[in-house]
Formats: sequence, structure tokens, C-alpha cells
Amino acid sequence: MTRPALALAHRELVRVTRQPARVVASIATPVLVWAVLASGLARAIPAVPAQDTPAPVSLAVYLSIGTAVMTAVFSSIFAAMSLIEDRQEGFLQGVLVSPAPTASIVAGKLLGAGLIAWAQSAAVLLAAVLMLGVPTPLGLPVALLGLALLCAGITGLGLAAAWAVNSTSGFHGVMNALLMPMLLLSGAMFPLRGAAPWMTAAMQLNPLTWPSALIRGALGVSADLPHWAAWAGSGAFAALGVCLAAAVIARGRNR
Amino acid sequence: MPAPDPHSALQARSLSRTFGARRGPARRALDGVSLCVPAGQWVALLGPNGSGKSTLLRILATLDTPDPPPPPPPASPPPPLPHAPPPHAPPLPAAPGPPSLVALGHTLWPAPTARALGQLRARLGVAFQSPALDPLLSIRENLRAAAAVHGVPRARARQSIEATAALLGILDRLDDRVGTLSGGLARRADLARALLPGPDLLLLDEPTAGLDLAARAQFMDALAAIARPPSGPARTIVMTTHDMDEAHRADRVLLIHRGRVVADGSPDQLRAQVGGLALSVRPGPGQADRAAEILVAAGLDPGTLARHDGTLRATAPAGLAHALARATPALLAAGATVHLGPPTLADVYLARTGADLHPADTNADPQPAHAAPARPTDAPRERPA
Repeated sequence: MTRPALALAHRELVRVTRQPARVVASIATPVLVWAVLASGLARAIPAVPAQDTPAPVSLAVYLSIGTAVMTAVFSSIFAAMSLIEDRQEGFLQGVLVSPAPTASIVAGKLLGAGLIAWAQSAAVLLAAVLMLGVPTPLGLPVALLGLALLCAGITGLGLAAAWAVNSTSGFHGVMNALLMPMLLLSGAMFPLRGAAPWMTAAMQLNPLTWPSALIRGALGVSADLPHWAAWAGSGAFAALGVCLAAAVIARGRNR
Repeated sequence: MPAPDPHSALQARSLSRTFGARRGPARRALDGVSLCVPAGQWVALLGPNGSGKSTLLRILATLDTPDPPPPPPPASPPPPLPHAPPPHAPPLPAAPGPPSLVALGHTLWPAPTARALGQLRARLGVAFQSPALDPLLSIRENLRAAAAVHGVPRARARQSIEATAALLGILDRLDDRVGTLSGGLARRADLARALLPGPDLLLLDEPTAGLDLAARAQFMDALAAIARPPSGPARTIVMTTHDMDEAHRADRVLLIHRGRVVADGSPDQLRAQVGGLALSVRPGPGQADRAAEILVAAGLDPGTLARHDGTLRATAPAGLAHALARATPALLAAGATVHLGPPTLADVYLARTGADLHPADTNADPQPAHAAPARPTDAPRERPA
């Protein structure tokens, strides 16, 4: 079961190295959003009031964590979308008629797509830590683990959606409708505690909030959620995404 | 379910497949297809687009499943018993039975197990209408990935990649990206992918679709070498095609029409069933009636003359060859293109179904069959029973 999964994951990694535009697009968009928001709002919002940190952090630092989260989301979607390309190009059929267990096919796609998304978002996070500085840089390993859980959850969600949707345009529509509100309400753009009560409640129920809070908390930028809640929520989100992808693909293959 | 036959690669009974029942009027792509393929036989499923052959291949390839059997009719009271059985009562015809499919000894339908599916897939090689290759990867990288997902050991995979590539004439292109290959080379690379695990059953869905004549011939030569290797047993191949020349290469041809098998035999057997001569006349503009009159005057039975996409077709007794040859100058004078020769598989298809194997509009229903020359109409007509 391991060899087919590793072969499929390796293929995903080779593919991405041969599509540099895809890497640039996944990273450039969030970085551009960060640059515009951080510089445009710097005077209006000089610092973000984060209640659980000793001192407020600058908007640029706060948004840089959100930028890494956004990169993880965009990269995961791009990577999951390769399933639709595989189907359109015919590669997927060749895999489906192979004796490889469905679990190993799902694991291969998840591992490959998730690794790509994680590497790209980790690069953004690393750049933010090194260039902008964060209150707790030693929390970087935990933050990277939080990013991994986030990527696993989004990639799983994306693979399940990609299996169900036939076209890349339809997939983009579904994912944008689902993920943009989730991203905006995840605390990546503004902290939970300054928001209106109804919005705070929505943000706390948003699965993207949990890994975002875990990453910010690890780097000492903010701790919108209790530590245990962020961990539990992030783990549950990752498990949900993985299980959803496995269930949808297994059902489709064996129908 | 039939008992698995150790000499059969495939045993299918009463397979049907219906699409679109939930969203609108149902379309039956397969309608009670039964076939038995002995090991080592090369079978061509011949039919026009939309005849159901690819649906059958997808079912054989484990990518789709046939319709479940219809529910039994409501019970009716048993008929009264006769006082005595009739003397010398003929045996009842065998009931078609519920759908079943056994491939390489593994039950695919009904109730396939995950284990049986996995074991069967390990012995299958499948090539689809478009190559199942990643265009961003080289042929070698694609074949390595295919070997891994098929569980081919690494050492064996390395040898097999080289050997299969050499057999198919792509050894010098192994490190080229698939996206840069011509259609013919990509098809051969895809065939290499399907052959890599050393399958006992090779399923090919229109493997030459979209190729030019030269690439098509190269591909079919390679396939013939694989089907009948100089040493070792022949390989079992089931191939769909709408090209009669390709079907001619096979040991056995099944003509598929509207989801049903309408003829089954070797290419020569099928052609012999039609017998005589096959005549095809494409008249000049507005000369269809004149051409039909010339043919009838030459002695052709008007009932055998059919009009398809502007072409007059007929089968004629061999004794009419001289008369038809004498009529040829008059046909040529009327601007017609004339073909007279032994029947092809397309003629067999026409004779069996009343439909053209290569309709001009593949989405349209078959064109009129057996239209008499006196009634040059394009209105659809039912084929006589």
C-alpha cells in the first residue's frame, strides 16, 4: 500500500517543479494581498490589539501569519485541483484500474498535494518570522505543525470536492464560495476579539480559525482560542478533511 | 452465475447498462450483452460511436457496473397442469438468466468483493481512448509510476520498461515528456503502460482514435506483435473500434448495434455470411435516381439497394459481376464513384443492422436503410425483419 502512495505523491512533487507559474501564483497572490493591506492600513491600524500578548504587534506582522494561512489555502486548492486535471488528461483512469487500494490512492494524492501546499506556506511563514520578527520565534516548529494540519484539512476537502465536480471552473466556484468566507472569518485578516459578537461566534465555529489560532498562538502573535481548543480543533479539521476525501473517492471508485 | 471456465478469459451474460434514468429519459447503452472470450483470443468489438462498445469495455475494466437484474414479475397463479405431457415436447429454450460477469476467474458481477477486484485489476491491462499518461512527466517516469501502482517489483519494472519500450519502438523516446510526443507515440507509450504489469487480459478502447493513417498502421502492427508473440501463448485482447480494417486484424469480431451484439464470428466468417459482391456507388449531384436506374437495369434487385449519406449500397449475387461491370461506364458518365468488390465488415454491419458503420453524423440515428431506387427519400425507414 505504501509504494503506490509514495509513487503518486512523488509524481505530484515532480509535476509542481515543472509548473513554476503555479508556485508563483500560489505565493504571489497572498503576498500581494499582505503588501497592500499592511501598507495601506498601516496608518489607520498601527498595531493589532492582541489581548493575550504582552504587547500589541504591528499589522504587518499580524497579517503575515494570515498570509501564510492564505497561501496554505490557495496552494491546497491548486494541488487538489490536480485531481480534475488527472481525470481530464486520463491519468486517473489508469490509476483507478490498477490494483492499488483506494486508501493508498487517497494517501498518495493527500501526501503529494498536502506537501506542496505545506512547503509553499511554510516558506511564507519562515520569511515572515525571519524578516518581520514575531514575539516567539521558537514556536516556529509548532506553527509549522499547525500549518501541516491546516494543509491536510483543506487538501482533503479539496480532493473530495474535486472528485465530485467535473470542471476546474466549477471547482473554483465551489471552493471560492466555501473557502473565502472561511478564510475571512478565520482570524487571518483581523483578530476575533475585536469583532462583533455574532461574528466572533461565527469565527469560533469556523474550522479554519482553529489552525490559524494555533499558528498565531505558537508564534506569540495572538491567542484567540485556548491552546487545547486550537490543537483539538486543528486535529479534528485535518482528520475530517482526510476522512471526507477517503470516503468520497472510495465510494466513487467502488460504485 | 455461470461456473468459471478455466479456459475462458471472460464470461459475460445479459449485461445491460442504462444511463440518465434520474435526470430524464433513460438511455440504454447496453442491452443484454452476452459473450465468452477464450484465453488467447483477440476480440474486436466493432460498432459506430454510441453503439455501446465503450460502455461494455468500461464494465470489463471495473470502472462501471451493469444494471442490476430487474425485479421479478408479480407472482401469478400457476397454470392448470395438463393431464399428460405432450408426446415429444421440444426442449424449452434456455432462459437468459440474471446478469453475471466473470473475468479471469474473478466474479465482477454480481457482488464483487474488494479482494476479487484487486486480484483482477492486478491481471488487467487497460488503454483508454485518450492516453492515461501525465503529459508533464517523461514516458519513463510515467511507466515507473504505473509500475508502482500496479505493484510491479522495482527490478522487474526496470527491465520491463526497457523491453516493452523496445517492442513498441519508443526506446529512444523514453526520456521525452509525454506532452511533447506525437499522438501515435503517445498511444504507443500508453500501450506500454498497459502492458507493463504483464496482463493476462488486455482491454483497449479505440486505441487508434485520432491518429493519422501512418500512425494507425504502426500502432496496429505493434499490437499484432503483442497479440501473437513469436514465442509463448497468444495474449487475450478485447478491443473496441469503429474501423473495419482494425477489426480485420482480430481473431473474432462482435458487431455491436444499439447496445446489442448483432453478429459474432471471425472476419472471414462474417463476410461469408453476406456473400456475393458488395456494391457502393456515390452518384454525382442530383444523379442518385439515374444511378439507381442504371443499377436496376443491370439486373440488381431493387430491394437490396439502400441509400446512406448519399451513397447507394447493395449486396449482389456474384453472378451479377459482369453485368454491373458493364454498367460502370454509364455510372461514371453520371459522375458517380463506383466500388465493386467482396463484402467488407461495413457491408456486414449494414446487412445486419440496416445502419452505416460510419455515419456522416455520428450523433444522428442511422440513415434510411433499404430505400428502393424508385423512392429516393431520406425519411427514416425501419429495416425489414
